[in-house]
Amino acid sequence: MICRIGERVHRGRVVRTTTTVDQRALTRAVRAGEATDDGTTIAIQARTPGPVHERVGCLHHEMGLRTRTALAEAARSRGHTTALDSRIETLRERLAELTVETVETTDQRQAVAEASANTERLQEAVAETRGELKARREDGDAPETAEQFRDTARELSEAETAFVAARQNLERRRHAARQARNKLAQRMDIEDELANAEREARRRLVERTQTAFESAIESVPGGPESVGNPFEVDSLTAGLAVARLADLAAPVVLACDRFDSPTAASAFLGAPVIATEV
Amino acid sequence: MLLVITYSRAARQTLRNVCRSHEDCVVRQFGQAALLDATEFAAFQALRLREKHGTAVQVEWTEPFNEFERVPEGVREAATAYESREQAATPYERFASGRDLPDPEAMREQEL
Repeated sequence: MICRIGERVHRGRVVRTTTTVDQRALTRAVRAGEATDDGTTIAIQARTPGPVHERVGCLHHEMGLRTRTALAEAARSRGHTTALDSRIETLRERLAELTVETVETTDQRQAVAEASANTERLQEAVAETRGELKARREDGDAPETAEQFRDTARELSEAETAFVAARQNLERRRHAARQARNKLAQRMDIEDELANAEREARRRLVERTQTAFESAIESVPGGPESVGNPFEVDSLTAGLAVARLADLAAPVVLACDRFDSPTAASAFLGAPVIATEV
Repeated sequence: MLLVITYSRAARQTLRNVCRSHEDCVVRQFGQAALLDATEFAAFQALRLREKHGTAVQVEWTEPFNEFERVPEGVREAATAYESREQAATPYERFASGRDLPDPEAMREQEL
């Protein structure tokens, strides 16, 4: 690899950084080719990392690890496959093909509520004006009130028409939302099936590699005295064991004191290493 | 009550979280749906879900179903008669023909 940190260039399978540089920035640079840490540009030319690098590409004392997932990825990196793979592939393709549009009905709901309130208000106004008109007519002619009554009645009629239109509009929109939700429900079914298939594939891969994983844990320097449940050892030990099992062509960023030298770490992991100060 | 139905894994998870954290406003919880009680707080939770997940959250206002208000007598009687039929295997259509009971097609066409 060629690893450039600021002005300094390191070459070779094993690199020890001489300046203080953040391991997360180094890892980002391994994955993306370039990253910056506190104004320092890091550029790394090396093999492209695969999915297992996402799990164990950066090993340090505070790391977290979903051990089973990582172990399954390690098995994949070694070319292990399962009988579920073609099903998983098909489900992923179906998901990718399924596009669902968003259908909002908020504006339509609001329009209905407003039209309804408006109609109600005008109904009351018409009733009130009608009462007033009746009272005035008993006293004689009331042309102004009659005109006001006609105006209010006309407004009410318009409002009622608008209310019907708003309701129809909302109904159409709801229909579209229902169609979209049919597709969403379909998508969720596929996603559920995919998640189950992936879980089952993972389980099988873990089952197949568990013995090798236990041996790897035993060989990790500074690991536990005895391995009870291999999935309960500390994350760094588990991460080192998984990385040893995995086929890692891209550099592993290492910030731990388990090895005598970065070269020893690289030999243990069978991978290029960028070692930083702990 | 408020019926909240979810249509994505993320929305379903949020609904489950809401139901777990606010049991007091949950009347009933199903796989991807929940009935919440008719309070402002439950509405707040439902709206929050919709705000977060958009189309993947459906909120409906439900009310108890009173057949004596909504359903014609003939339909109610048909249900009673059919459930006390002697032969379990008789489909409703055959059961109704020759009796004074509503036709299933006609019922399908008739909205409540």
